[in-house]
Amino acid sequence: MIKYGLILSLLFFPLFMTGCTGYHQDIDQLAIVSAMGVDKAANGQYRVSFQVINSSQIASTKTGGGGGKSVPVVVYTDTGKTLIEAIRKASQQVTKRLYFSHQQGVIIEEKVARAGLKDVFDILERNIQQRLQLNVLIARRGTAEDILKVLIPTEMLPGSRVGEALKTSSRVLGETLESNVRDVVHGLTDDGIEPAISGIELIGKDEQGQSMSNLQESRPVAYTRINGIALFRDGKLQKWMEGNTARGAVTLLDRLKNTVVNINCGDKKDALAIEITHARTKLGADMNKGKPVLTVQMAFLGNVYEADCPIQLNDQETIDRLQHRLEREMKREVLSAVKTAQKEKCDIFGFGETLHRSQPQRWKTIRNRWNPIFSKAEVRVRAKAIIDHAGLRFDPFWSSK
Amino acid sequence: MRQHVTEKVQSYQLFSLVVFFELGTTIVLGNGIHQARQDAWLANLLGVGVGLLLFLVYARLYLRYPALSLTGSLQKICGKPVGWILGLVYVEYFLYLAARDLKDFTRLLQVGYFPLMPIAVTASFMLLIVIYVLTKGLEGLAGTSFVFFIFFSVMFCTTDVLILLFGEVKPEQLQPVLENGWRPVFQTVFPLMLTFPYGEMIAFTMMLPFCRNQPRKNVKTALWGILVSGLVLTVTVILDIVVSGVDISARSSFPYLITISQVEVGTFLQRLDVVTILVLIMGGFFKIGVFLHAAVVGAADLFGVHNPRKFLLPFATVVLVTFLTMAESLMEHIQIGLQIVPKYVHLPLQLGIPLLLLIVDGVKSRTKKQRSAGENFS
Amino acid sequence: MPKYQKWFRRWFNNPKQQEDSQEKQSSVELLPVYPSIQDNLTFLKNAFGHSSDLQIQELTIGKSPTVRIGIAYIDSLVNADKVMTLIKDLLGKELTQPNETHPHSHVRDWIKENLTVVGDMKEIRDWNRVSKMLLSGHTVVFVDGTNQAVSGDTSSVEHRAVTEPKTQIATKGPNEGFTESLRTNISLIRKRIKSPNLRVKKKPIGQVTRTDVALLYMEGIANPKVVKEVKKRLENINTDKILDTGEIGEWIEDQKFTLFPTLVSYERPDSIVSHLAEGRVAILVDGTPYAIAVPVTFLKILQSAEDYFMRYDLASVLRLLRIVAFMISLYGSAMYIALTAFHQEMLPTSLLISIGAQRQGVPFPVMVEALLMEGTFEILREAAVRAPRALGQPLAIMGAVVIGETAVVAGLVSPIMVIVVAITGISSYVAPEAAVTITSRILRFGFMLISGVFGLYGILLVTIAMVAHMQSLRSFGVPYLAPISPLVWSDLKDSVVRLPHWMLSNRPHELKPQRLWRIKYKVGDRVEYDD
Repeated sequence: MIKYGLILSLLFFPLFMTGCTGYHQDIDQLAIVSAMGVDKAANGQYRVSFQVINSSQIASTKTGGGGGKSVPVVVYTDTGKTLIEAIRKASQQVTKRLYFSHQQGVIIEEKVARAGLKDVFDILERNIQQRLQLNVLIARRGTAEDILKVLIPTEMLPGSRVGEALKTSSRVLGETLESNVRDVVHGLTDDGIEPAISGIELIGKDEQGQSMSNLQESRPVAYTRINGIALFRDGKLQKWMEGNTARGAVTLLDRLKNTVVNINCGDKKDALAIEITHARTKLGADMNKGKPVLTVQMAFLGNVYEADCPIQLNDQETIDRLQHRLEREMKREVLSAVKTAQKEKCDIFGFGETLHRSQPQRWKTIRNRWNPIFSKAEVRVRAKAIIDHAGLRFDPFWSSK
Repeated sequence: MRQHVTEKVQSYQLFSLVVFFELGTTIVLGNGIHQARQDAWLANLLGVGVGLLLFLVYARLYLRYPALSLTGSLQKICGKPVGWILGLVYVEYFLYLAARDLKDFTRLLQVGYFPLMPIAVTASFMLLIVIYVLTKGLEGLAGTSFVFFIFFSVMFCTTDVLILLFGEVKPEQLQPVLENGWRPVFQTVFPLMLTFPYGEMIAFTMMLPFCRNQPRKNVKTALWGILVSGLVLTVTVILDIVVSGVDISARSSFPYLITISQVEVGTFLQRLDVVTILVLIMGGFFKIGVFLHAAVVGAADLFGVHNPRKFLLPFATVVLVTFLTMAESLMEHIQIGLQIVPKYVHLPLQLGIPLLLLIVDGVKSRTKKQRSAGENFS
Repeated sequence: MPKYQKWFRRWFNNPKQQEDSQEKQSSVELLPVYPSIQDNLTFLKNAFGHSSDLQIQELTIGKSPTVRIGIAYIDSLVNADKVMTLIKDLLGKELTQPNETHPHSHVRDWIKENLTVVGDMKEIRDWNRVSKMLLSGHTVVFVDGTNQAVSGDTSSVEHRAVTEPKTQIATKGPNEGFTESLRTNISLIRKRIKSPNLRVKKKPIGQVTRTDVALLYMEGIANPKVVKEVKKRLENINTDKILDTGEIGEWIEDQKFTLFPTLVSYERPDSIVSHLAEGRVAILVDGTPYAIAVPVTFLKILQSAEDYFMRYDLASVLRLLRIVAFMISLYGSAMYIALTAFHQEMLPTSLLISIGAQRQGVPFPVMVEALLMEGTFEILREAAVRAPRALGQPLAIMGAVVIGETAVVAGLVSPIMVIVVAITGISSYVAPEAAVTITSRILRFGFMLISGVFGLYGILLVTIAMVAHMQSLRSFGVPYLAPISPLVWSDLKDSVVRLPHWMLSNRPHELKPQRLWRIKYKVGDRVEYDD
């Protein structure tokens, strides 16, 4: 018995030796990073900023009510030749351990994006604390650091707002793209597809936006807006798409959730608003005599949202006409998106991937020169739209005169 | 006072043990995605077939001598000295496999969940629990595996349904099928998938004689176990590819973790990562348990010791020491594990010797028959 | 027997002493009753050490010839009225024709035949029986000139009336509870089982207390091997006192060193009856309102008598709820520790921030905080149980205010910790059987410690060890985790869920009952009623 105990304790010596409580990190010793920003510093180094949640502040506003005294988030910044160096340096400013698992978004400055994303993304992917659902945005106006510093009245945590705002805007407006680390890495590594990332811009005076006073204004002096989609080639930002073209790109990527399309009503321009509630897009690619033919098939389901002109909405013929017009409008948008992408030789839609899947053998011969081939490809778009109702009224009051 | 109930292992317990053993750490690792890429599911299906065939070799041996474990039949077929030495080699082989598995397992745990915990500590704790459960004998191990199998099935099915419902599933990622022909698929199956996990089933030749039912039924149960675990692996690999994409799955050390972490059910059920860690620990535990038990039973058989439990502590010590002196880095570990060991250790021990045994046994019995027939004539 | 058990046995028991005392006892037993009444009464007085509640009266009855008789009883155990009637009868009735040749034995027979006022008349020849009869409230009559005495049952012991059970409360179904009287308890069972097949075997256990222990089972249903095993183990009990079934339980359990109860005590006759009808064996002890049923499985312990009285759907849901609550009480605080100290990535972001904020300024690590709070909770609970009833209210207020408010306000513990402790604490009382509550309460601390060291890894590995342990447990040869492991499909009908009664046509397989089917005829056959 004693002999066995002795062997047992020898065997499990490591258990007893190393002490028992050193393997964990308590929750209150963590500095929870809610968002990260990457900028280019003046000397060519990276400048990394973290937005760290000031949880004691959040707690006090919760229990005490009436707003706290200090800011809900703190932003730490430092520079380094590599990202990790900058992160290490910045973490020296924080008394606690930086904790990335609950990060909501990464903001990358346009300059960095133009120089290439590949250096930035390895660390985002490799670190076990990083999650692939992390949202990625490109800072268009203002640096990532400034954007992180802006406080927003309706949100406790500006960092998590980045993600939420992106979600909302891409679901309601349809002109921005919810792209996360997974999508970007997929675009960076796979042949036949390039990443596309939405932009975020800072509007207003950023100095005032950083202080608590920004939270006390009903019309904040500084705020952020998500706008535009960036096109990449070989991991480098090439061009921005905006407005309807951007919506065309979102449609092509089959990410369109909900949007409102304006079409003409007789002579009146953009007088009819149609809400698209469901959209489905299928891409195809084929080679025809050494020249690729790209096909796009789209289907929409929508309803009349606003009608500022006399029109008979209980008439099937009118509806048919509207559907036709909607199809034309969407085709136009999609074509303009493809044309822009072709001009920049950025296949962000993954036509190449589609070709790879359908004709793997032929793909092998052209994969290395796909981007130039793509830019000369012929595009055929087919669309089908159905308008299934017109809201609570049939005819607008315009027509009842 | 206390009744010693010597119940033998029931067939469903054997089944669950086989399933856990096969799934092991493999399920988390995304079997074959690294090599066969989007055709990994084909490789997995092929692998099950090959695994079943391989097990039929072991089953044939077992059915020839239903009362004998591998060490027993070795001595029976090859004679005392040669068979005994080969038996000892197998015992050491099982210990090596246990240590290797422990290394795999603790490494994964460290990379994925406990970056601050030294692997020696994780490993000692695991061994402690394995020893405890093995003092309850094979019945204890198999019975426990069955209880956890119920838990596992419920969890696995729920998670997979959640992935299908709430993950971003893109079935087209499975295309193009057979981009580079059958070659990469075959290369994944031979020798990699053959030896890991299917060839490791050789450990069960040490246990089948202790199962309750008819030998034929035992073999059938084990075959079902292999088939089911193969299908589970295939489903997992398909989910990995369809949800995470081939590229990310192939480059990551935990494809299943990445797949599961993408499930977001509203805002409240966002982090199912706990499922991976549970599956990983259960698989690791039963695999190490089976190997250690195989070694212990084999040694008891070789040295004629009645109570195999006496070997538990010394053998666990051996495993721990082997574990501590094994390859330093994960890269070295994987390199040895994927390139050197399969060729020079796994193949001969998992395939070569059993086949040889069957042939020798067949020849022997034939000559015996002829001899006896000849005697009858004369 | 494992080595350590032998070792414990050797260490704590001194077998020699026990043998000696047993020998002494047996030598006294065979002393016969003296023929002379004087000798008898003197011996009796000395034997009881002139105990003041031993009453002895000498009477002369009959006219010619007269016979002297001695009456002895213990004042505190008898019904005074009964003894008075007895004496009156002895004095008042005319002796029938005296037998000249053997006047004394005639008197003895006359007493035996005519004293109908008391029951259970017995002839006694040796002193051991005399003292036993006296101690169980009988009145012993010595007749001069014969070496036999007569005893009559005049006992009347004070005990509680049948009331509602105190611990095992049900909202539906019968609400009678056992009392401290073995007779009443057996009658409570008898009146529910109108079958001659109910067997009751009594045996006194304990050299000092000589407590009556009754073994009850259904002949033809219960597995005879189990009955034999229970009898054997009861006979092997070697102790001086038995006051409660709990003591019996510790003696007859299969596995001595386990946190899991392998037998259960019930306060409800209906539970015991349902166990008996399923083929289990019940053990009742005089002087305690708790009865043991063996063999039991883990799932059986988690069931309540009420499950069979409610609709099956509700019963099934409640059983599931109970299992979930058991899990929460085992793992709740351990999971909290694991998630906050090791696996923060598994918490939703908003919850993480909120916990992090609440823990700001708490001076202890999570594990210490949790252990402190759980410990305090257990102390409070124990105090609330033991404290005089009048103190209960202030105690509860103190606990609620101290733990719930002040500790949080003072920043010693985080509010969420209080919530976790409260949830685990309440969950542990959902289990209908107190023994399981204790299991989960003790194991909870183990899980908390291990989770503080190893996180989820520790929790799961220890759970594996726990399941392996549970699955090696036996209760009188019945696997503890039956019917899940070993798996018996037809028994799953009444395990985690309860299917309707008409589907529960067989008794549990694991008990190996003599008759597996509950009823002889098939469902749907005609059943004759007689009235």
